[in-house]
Amino acid sequence: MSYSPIMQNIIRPLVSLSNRDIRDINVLYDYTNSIFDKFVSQYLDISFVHKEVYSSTREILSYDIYWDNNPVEYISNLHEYKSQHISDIVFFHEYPEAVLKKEDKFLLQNRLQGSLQIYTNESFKGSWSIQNGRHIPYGIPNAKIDLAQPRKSIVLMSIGGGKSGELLYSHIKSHFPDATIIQNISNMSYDDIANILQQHYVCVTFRKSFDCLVALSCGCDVLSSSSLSENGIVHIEDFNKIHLMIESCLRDRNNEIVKQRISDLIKKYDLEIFQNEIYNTIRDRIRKPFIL
Amino acid sequence: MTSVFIGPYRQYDYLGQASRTYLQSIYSVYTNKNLSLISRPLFIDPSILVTNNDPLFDKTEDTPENLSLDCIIQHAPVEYLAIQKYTKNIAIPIMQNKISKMPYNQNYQKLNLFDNILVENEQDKNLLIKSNVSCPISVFDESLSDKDILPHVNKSYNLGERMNGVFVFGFIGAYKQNISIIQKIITAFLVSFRSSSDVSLIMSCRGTEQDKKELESYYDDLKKRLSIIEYSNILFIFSGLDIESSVASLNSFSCLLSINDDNSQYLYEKYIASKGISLITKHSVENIQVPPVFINESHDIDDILISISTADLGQKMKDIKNQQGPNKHQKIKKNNAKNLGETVCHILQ
Repeated sequence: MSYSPIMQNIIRPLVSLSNRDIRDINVLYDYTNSIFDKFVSQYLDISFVHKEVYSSTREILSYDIYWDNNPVEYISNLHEYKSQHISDIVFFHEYPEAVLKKEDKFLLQNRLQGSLQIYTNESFKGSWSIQNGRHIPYGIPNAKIDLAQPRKSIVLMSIGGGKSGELLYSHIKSHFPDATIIQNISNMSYDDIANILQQHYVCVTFRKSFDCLVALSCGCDVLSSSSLSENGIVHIEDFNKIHLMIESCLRDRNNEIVKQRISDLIKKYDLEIFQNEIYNTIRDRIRKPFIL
Repeated sequence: MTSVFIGPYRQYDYLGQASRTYLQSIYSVYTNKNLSLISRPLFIDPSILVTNNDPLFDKTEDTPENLSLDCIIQHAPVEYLAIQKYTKNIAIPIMQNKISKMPYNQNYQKLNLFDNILVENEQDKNLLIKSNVSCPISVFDESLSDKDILPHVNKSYNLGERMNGVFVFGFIGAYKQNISIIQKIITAFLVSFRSSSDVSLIMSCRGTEQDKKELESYYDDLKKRLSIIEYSNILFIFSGLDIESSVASLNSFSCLLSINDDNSQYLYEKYIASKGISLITKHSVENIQVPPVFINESHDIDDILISISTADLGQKMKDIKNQQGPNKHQKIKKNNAKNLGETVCHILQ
């Protein structure tokens, strides 16, 4: 007997809405092995299913929604989910790469017309030419840390950073022998990562805004190539001089300032607001019919 | 307590029109009885045009705050149908594969899981019973009419003065899925009517410009092989096969060649049933004004379908042309799907 999951994918959101419990919602999720993935798994009360298992589960599981974190890659396999009548939400976490031309953005927006687009920073709307989207700022958990505890000097977050991450780490390590590197987080929870960050004064990260905010919430001074602008984040202009920047952070560190900074950050990036916004957004999305 | 209707009602094709009528019928009765109905669209053919501006959608697609589902009505091909626990499940199956030689479709067993099945005619009901479907089956009066199904389509193709009064054979279907039968029809037509000027053929296909070129090239080669130098009574119309172009084609036909390889033609049969258009078909059709001409498919020793014979098809086309004469369209009885909503309500009581 042949079976098509399409009908179940249409019925499922209605059943989820009837049940009224957000935990019943099945989200097919685009895991990219990022700290944000770890965060949503731990802090959102939704059933996430890894998109990698989609092809093997599509015959037995139905989904309320598909959540993608990489719009540029998503548009190339958007048809797969659309053909199965699964509504989607697409997250814009960063500014567009410089290589992305105006016509590429136009094409991207054209393909994403039926998708709900969520941007985490208000200025992404213009830079990605988003027409119909929703601004949802990140929520950051309160780490409740003891700043008086002594810490190691620096941790380099080089998740998927490859060779360039290793080169930077050996450069930093030659100046700060107690330096730590985080490369593979596949077996770590969000709390495990936060726990490592809380043991260091300075955190060096690359481009991801969310990672910078997590490091700030853990009491780190952050050196990053991200365009995010927050107290405590210093933008790296020249990686060759990074040891001087780390030295400056360690020299100027003031726990009272860090404490105030964390308090402001937790208020600005309120976790509960983020959770409610996501729940409401998903509910709103699945209340609407899937339209091809 | 809310019921949900799921069907291809946003598709801008014949199936979509039928589904919109069903939705409208159920919605009207529900509204009169203060019952709550919502709808969700199904897209069976993602390449088909969709219609997005029917006010009915605004009324039915809005989801109430406190949704409590108690009945799911699915208008869909049998293989799409799904059962939901803790609700009443009603199926309006779209049975496209009504091949008389093979009534025992294994997929139909799924229908036994439903509380009720609604079908459009006694023929479908009997087919399901023969296929060992034992749950309650109700028949609703669904015959499609100009008024209820096709309120805005009243055109046909202008075939030019030269074609006035000629007998028009027509075929409608997706090109890729029907290449084999399309080639047979053209061959049968050319062989049977090569010297006739009072007969023409319209091939109305869903396909691309490339498909059209491919078919024209096949046609040119065939003419060469048959030593036909000039013959222009064949018209190839390639479009998205939306409802307007499908009906415009049907309105231009004297005889529908309802022998598609993909068995997607049955809704066109329903339309012509009340139009006085002749029909060459592979299976029996109910409530048709002009008695259809049947064509046999060959089956091998294991009852596996082989094909329609080109010679047989050509002979049947000749027969029907000789019997019917030039194109005559007559409009007869108009039925509607009004009692579908009543039937659903009756089941729910």
